[in-house]
Parts: sequence; structure tokens; C-alpha cells
Amino acid sequence: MNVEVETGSPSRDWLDDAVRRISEFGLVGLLVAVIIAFTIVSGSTFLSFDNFVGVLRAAAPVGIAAIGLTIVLAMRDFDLSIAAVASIAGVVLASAVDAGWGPLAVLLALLVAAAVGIVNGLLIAYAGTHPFITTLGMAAAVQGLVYVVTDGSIFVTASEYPLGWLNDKVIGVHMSVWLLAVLFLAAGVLMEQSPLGRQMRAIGGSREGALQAGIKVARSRALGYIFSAVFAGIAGLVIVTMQQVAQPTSGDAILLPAFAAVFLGAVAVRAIPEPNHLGTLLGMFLVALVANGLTIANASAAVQPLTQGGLLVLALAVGGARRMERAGA
Amino acid sequence: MSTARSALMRTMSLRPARDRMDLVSRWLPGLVVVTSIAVFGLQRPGIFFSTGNLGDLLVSVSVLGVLAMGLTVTLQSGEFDLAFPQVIVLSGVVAGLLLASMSSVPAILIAVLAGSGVGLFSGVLVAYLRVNSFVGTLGVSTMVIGVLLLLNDGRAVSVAKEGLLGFLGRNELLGISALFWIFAAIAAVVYAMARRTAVGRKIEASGASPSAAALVGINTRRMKVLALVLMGTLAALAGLMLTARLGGISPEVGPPFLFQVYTVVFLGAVMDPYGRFSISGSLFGLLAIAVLNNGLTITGVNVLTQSVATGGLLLAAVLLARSRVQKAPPV
Repeated sequence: MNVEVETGSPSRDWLDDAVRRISEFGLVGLLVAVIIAFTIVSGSTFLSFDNFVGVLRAAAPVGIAAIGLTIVLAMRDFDLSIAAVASIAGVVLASAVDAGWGPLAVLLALLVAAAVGIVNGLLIAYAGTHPFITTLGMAAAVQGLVYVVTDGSIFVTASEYPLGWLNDKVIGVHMSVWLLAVLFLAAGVLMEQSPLGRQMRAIGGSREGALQAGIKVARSRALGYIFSAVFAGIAGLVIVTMQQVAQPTSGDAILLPAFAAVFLGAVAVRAIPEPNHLGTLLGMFLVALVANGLTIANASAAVQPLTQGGLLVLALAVGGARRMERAGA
Repeated sequence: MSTARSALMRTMSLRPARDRMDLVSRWLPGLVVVTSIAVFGLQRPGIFFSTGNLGDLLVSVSVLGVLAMGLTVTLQSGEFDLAFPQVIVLSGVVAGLLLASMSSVPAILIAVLAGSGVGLFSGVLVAYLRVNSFVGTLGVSTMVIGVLLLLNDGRAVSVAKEGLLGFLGRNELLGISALFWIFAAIAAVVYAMARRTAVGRKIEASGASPSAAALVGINTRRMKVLALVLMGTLAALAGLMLTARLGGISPEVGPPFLFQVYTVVFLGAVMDPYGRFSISGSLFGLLAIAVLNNGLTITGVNVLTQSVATGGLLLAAVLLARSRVQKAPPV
């Protein structure tokens, strides 16, 4: 018996290891498969430097919002208000520019976004309300405020856009893509290398354990909601600058892809499903590439929500299976 | 085994000591009803107390109420559902499209089954693949939007006045819309299911304490699937009732229900000593929201004030429910 276990166990470990490695890098594999498939279908229209830059530019708002969402989700919290926050940042920017605020409009828009994050953080981290239901209510309240700012009109256009430089190209790549890269790098360093980031990840691992280790759990969680709101606000500003118009529902389109990116990323890269910025970046790229490839291949409009929802559900199912496996082991 | 059973019984039935905060929260929905009736009754007595307005109120209660019944059971099972606003639209569109080529009864049955199918899909994801219900049903909701685009490019659908749906939308029984009687029947059935049958108690136990429920031999996964299938089915019925009332359905009528239905159910939960979700509580929450919405509409208050009022209520409900949850005895 003993001999069997001793000889059997290394080979099973090796097999487990291989399975884990494949599923860890499943997202990269999926990414490569998607690129090959769309290249076969559409050729150089899809596989070109300009198209990939275009994909990243279109994905920038989703990616920026997903950066903040990754921080919140890494602490096992939720934020459903990011879409409404992106919308309000956009309409505040456009309205404030027209009211003569100039570049200060950017600051005002981000302060409004941060204020929503502060309220979320106070309610959830300090008063202990449920993250899901609180941010759902906050989304409704902020959406109401958006209609107050726009005064019921379906769009607001500003005479100029203080962040217009985001649409310029440097070394062949739009500034909004560079901004996305810089923010990803900064957030990645924050979460992986700084004491605050390590504390936040510890909270995600075990809230009770983090509390007993002397980590200020409530403060870190509240901070997470502020990060999430500010990043959503920046995403809203990028949308408005790109589209040159602010709509009351500009932000709605980022909600699902942002969640999909974070959850796809959570099951990639690391063995234990855990939201992380490298994974989110890959997830964002996959979601954006699929959307772009389908558009180029002239797929029907119905395919977009089906694949986006499907990717999110797939990521969650893989993560759930992985957790079950660990619980069983 | 017996410890688990007694722990389960304790969470489900023990009464805590009352204090002042308890008193406020237990009567919050009642307070909303009385205040709304007093304020709107004084401001617009002629309209508010008219039989026409009471009829409107009962009809608007119906669709919201059927959804609240489903969500109450889902939340009791310990899961969330974000997909029901799209299921409302899905069932209306499916019925509308099928009515062009077949008679009412099979068309309605297929529309209801479409809703149950979405619920089953969510249920399997949540219970058997261990997917977080909140994010999982967000994904399902988006997939349903895709299905709607496949079916008819996401356009609105109208139904003929002659069919069964048109008949239900227009006709009254004892002076009250047929839709209200459908809601009353559904509420009675769901209430009986939740309070008087083993399945209802098992669903509640699965949410109250999953580990204790599993120890006493309850198949908690099956209970969660059942709850989400019920949610999907009731959302489909609500969608058909809405289609009957409006004479058709368009995609933008779904999403506003999300926030309203959660507010109704959470208002009900604050009335419970432990902040538990219950059918009777949700019925009180429903009454409060219906009277408030109706009053705000007839006094011509703008949309913002309406959303602030209902948003504030949800927030108050969530804060008060939280103080209750902390008082629950350790399991």
C-alpha cells in the first residue's frame, strides 16, 4: 500500500501540475486561438498594427474601469456603480467646460466620482451594508443625478475638451492607450509591490485573518471603493473625449466587459482564482479582440452580447470548478 | 446532526429582545404607507382616493408583486438574481412573436418556459458550478440581451387586442383588473409554498445556514436551482402581464424593475426581527412602494425626486436590515 502511494503520488503531482499550468495559461492560449481564428477569417484587416491599436483604443475606457474594479474585487467586494459613475464624470466634464471651468472641469468631474466612492466606502466598509445592494442603490441614485446635470436632454456637447490630447498619436499609438498602459502599470505596482497592495490582497484572502494581523480592513476596503470610483470616472472622461459628446448613459457599455475582463483575468495567471492586474489586462484584451474580430467579420449584432456574457460565465465556471477542486483536495 | 438541527431551528425561529431601533425599522414600511396616504391624500384628495386611482394602484402592484414573490424566494435561498429584468422582456417578445403564428395558450406556455429555462441555466451555474450568483446572473442577463437581438433585432413587439393577453389586459373581475387577480393567485401559491411546504422551508434553510442545512440532509444545491427556476418563471409571467397591460413590450421597460423589486423585498426584510426575507414582509414592502410611487406620480413630482425617494428608502432599508443581521445569534 505504502509503496503504491509513494510511487503513485509524484506522477499524480506532475499531472496535477500540468493541468494547473494549462488552465493557468488558458487565457493566453484562448487569446492566441482567437487571433489565429480571426486572422483566417479576415486576414490583414484583422491582423495589423493599426487594427490592434484601434482595438486597444476602443478598449481603453473598459480597461481603465477594470483597473479599479480589480482592486475592489481583489478584496472580495463588489462595485456595481462603475457605469453610473463613468456617466456622471462625463456629463459633469461637458457641463463644467461649458460653464467656463476650463481644465478645472477635469478635476471637478473626478471629485464627483471620488465622492461616490467615499459614500460607497463609508456605507459598506464602515457601516457594514451589503456591497451588492448598496452599490446597486448608488448606481440608481447617481443615474438620477446624471439626469439632473443634463437637465433631461439626451446629450451634452462641450465647446472644447480639456483632455483632447488623448486622441493624439505618439509613436503611432493614441495617448489614451498610453494612459491605459501607465495606469495598469501603476495599479499593478501598487497591488503587487506596496504594503497597501499586499494588505488589500490579504483582506481578499481572509478578512478575519487580515483583521487579526492588525490590518486596517475597513480603511483599505473604503479606499478600494474610492479607487474604483476614480478609475470609473477617468474611464468616463476618456469616453466623452473619444466620442466628443457626453450622454447620460455613456458609461453603461463598460459594466459587463469590465466585469468579464476582471473575472477572466482572475482565473488566468494564478492557480488560485484571484483578481490581478496582469490577468485583467489579458482579459480586457481578449474581450476587446473578440468584439473587434466579430465586427470585422460582419457578425450579427446579437453575437456581441452573447459572446461577452458567455465569456464572463465561462470565466466564472472555470473559477468555480478550480475552487471546488481545491476544496476537495 | 442534532446540534446542527437545533442551530438551524434557532436561526430560523428565535426572537431577539426589542429595542428602539428595532421599533423604527419594524414599522418602516407601515410608516411609509401611512405618511404617503396622509401627505398625498391631503394634497390631492380628489384624485388619490378616487376608485380610478385605486384601480391604477392595484394594476401597478401586480407586475411588481409577481417579481417580488420570485426575488423573495431567491434571496431566501441565499442567492441574487440580476437577470430578471431581461427575462421580463424575453417572455413578452417570445409571446408576441409566437402569437403571430399560433394560438394564445401554447404561445404563453412557451414564453413562460423560456423564462424557466433562463432560471434553470442561472441555477445550474450558481448551484453546481459554484458561480457567484451576482456576477453570474449579470453575465446571463447580457446573454439574454443577445437572444433578444437574435429574435427580432431588439425591437418592440405588440400583441393583438383579440388574444388572451389582450383580454386579460382589458378585463375586470369585481371591478378590479384581471391582472391583479392573477397576482393575488400567484402570491397565495408562493406564500403557501414558502410557509407550508417542506420545499419552502428547505429553500429558506439553504440560505439561512447552508452548512447546517446540508448536515440535516437538505440538498441545498437543488433548492437553489428551484429558487432560481421559480424566479425565471415568475419573471416570465410578470413579463406577460406587462405585455397584456401595455399591449406589447419594448426592451427598455425591463431594467427599471431591477431597483424597484430589490427595494420592495429589502423593505420587507427590515420588518423581520433578524432581517430575514419573507413573503409577508415583501407584500408590506410592495404596498409601501406602490402607494409612494402612485402618490408621487399623481402629485406630478419630477422623476428625480421619485428616484431619490425610492433610493433613500432602499438605503434606509439596507442600513436597518444590517443592524438586525448583526443581532442574529451565532450559528
